[in-house]
Amino acid sequence: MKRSLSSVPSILLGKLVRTLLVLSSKSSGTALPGRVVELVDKKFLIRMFSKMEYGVLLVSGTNGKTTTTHIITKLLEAQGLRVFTNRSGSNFTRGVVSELVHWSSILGNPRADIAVLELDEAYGVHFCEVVKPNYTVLLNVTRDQLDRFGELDYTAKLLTKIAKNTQNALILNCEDPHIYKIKNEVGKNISTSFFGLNPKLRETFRNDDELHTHKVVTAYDEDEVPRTWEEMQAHKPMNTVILEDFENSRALYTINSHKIVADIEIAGLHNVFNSAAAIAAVRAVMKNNLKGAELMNLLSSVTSPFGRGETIEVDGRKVELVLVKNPAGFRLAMLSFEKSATYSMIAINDEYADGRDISWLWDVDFNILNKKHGKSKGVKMISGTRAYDMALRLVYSNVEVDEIEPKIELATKNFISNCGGKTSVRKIYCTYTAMLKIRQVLTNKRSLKI
Amino acid sequence: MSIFTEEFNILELYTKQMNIYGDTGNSQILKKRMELYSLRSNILHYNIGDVFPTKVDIIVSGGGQDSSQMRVAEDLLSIKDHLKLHALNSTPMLVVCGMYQLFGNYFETSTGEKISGLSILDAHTVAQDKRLIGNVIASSNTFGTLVGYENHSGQTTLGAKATALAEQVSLGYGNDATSQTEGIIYKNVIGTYLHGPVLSKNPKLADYLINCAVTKRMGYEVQLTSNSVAKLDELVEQARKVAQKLRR
Ligand SMILES: [Zn+2]
Repeated sequence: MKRSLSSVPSILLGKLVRTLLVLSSKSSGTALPGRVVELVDKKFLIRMFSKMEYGVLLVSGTNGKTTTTHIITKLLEAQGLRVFTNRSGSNFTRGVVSELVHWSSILGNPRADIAVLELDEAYGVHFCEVVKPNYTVLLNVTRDQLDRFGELDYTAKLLTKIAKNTQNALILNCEDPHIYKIKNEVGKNISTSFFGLNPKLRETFRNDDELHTHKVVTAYDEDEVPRTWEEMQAHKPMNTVILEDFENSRALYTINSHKIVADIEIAGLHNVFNSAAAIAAVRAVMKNNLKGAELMNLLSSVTSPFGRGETIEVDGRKVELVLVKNPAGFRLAMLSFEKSATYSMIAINDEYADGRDISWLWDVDFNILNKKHGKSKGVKMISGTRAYDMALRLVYSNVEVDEIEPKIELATKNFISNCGGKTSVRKIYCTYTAMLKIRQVLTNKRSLKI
Repeated sequence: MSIFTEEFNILELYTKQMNIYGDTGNSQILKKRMELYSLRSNILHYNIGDVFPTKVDIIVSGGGQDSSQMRVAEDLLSIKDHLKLHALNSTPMLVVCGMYQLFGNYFETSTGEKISGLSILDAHTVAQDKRLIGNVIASSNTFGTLVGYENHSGQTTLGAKATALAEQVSLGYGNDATSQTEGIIYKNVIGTYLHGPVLSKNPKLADYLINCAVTKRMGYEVQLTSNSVAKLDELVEQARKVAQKLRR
């Protein structure tokens, strides 16, 4: 009784601050209430999460956190669970605490059965010092945060720390050597499950280390492990989800020994693989008390989360925004071209949230954007603070660039007006802050005179 | 022997291990610029355990993870003599970040262990806790303003008689946190911490490497000009302008 009541003052305080903030300004004031509660009650997070029946599921890694978190949330909700999740971007305790305050009853009880949290590598470690996650999904280690973390090995170390702090189950990508190795670092009391690819798909889903080799090197080459599903089953009799094949948005998975086809409605090629991670995670939480087909039906009802691979329509002209932040991601985004001819724009900023270092653009093979290849109608526009660097990158690989306009607002308007009619397919590949700006331009239709 | 029919070979070392920041961009840039100057070239690769190619005109290599750098350091011993001979015979080379360190006398790790380098460049490197990360602007008496990005934990000290590539760093660090110098140049070997595709925004370095290669192969110096290179370099100038206004 005493335990449950001890949250009450902090909850009240948090709610009070939130109310005052909402009254005093029009902002939703996410961070401040959390900061106040955190200062007053450091054990707040532990108490709240420990009251949730299933505890905490943490999603970390570089690529695909937001979408995977979103899919897991939707799938668990469909199982009847009340899911608390952090909105993308509120990566810090303050953000999580703020949302939790909002999600709690006045008596300090959470109105949720599980928390599904997306945390980056560095913050995940910090978070684990306070709250030990019950389940952890580790997606991949890619190069886009080197300007923050210095090296891949260091990033992998951070993820290993998170794994070691996990209490019940780990869900690991067995195609990423850095992630796969983590299985050797954790105690035997933790159950480990994997998600992976049929060997024939590894060529498509290359990791950063494989972009310049003709041979695809996965975890399996460095670490002697099973290569086929059959071998893997002998090694790991349970808990493996393999993406076997896909065609457009239909994907074939093997879940243990069952083969299941599902429709994946979330735009972007990488999401058929993120869905494998989500299925493995949901199975771990539900202790495998799930029928595969049921899960697959649910998957087809999940659509894109806000801000990732979204399509915006302006005066009947559609434009798809694709977030790009590292070579492997950019490559996959370009591979998931529609069957129809596509006009492209690329917007590269170098703010902190984008990554200050833009060297990685040289690891992307842009040949697919060349008008001579495939369905590309060419790169019509390049924008962002590093527009000229991007243009140089393309020119050096013989991809024609029609126009360079560093100012994003002007560039976006020109791109939409000048690229074909209402039926044209337009894609804008953009870094994080560029995407925010473009969204703003596109959703404010009045300013877009076309 | 016509300059236009000769095929120049650009050798990229350890593409898999030493390419963490898009360093392979440098060989692509060299090849493209040579093409625009109507010079033919091939990109060759040398990876761990390979046989060192016989005809090499330009050598480039980049930076890697600490762990892969160790494996490369080991393999480098097997091609040490080739590389030393090339350096002595004035083959132009561009070694970036990790490979710059390995071309020096030694690298001292954070635990005090000394890994010996090739001793082609008179410099040594000591790992430090503080990582030097961010945009760099440096001025060089020979090459003008250099712009780029650095990300390294090793700090490099040049030998007393060594020549820095850039004498004055105005943004970022370069070789180390104190000397305000960036990189090194010895014969035609350029070492630098400006990682990734350093040649993309520093075409003077690219043209220097190409000129050295041509002079060495043909036996005469030639002034290379090209309208398409001039057009390309207008774009480079714009990118440099942006880079010169950058914060760290
Ligand atoms: Zn570097």
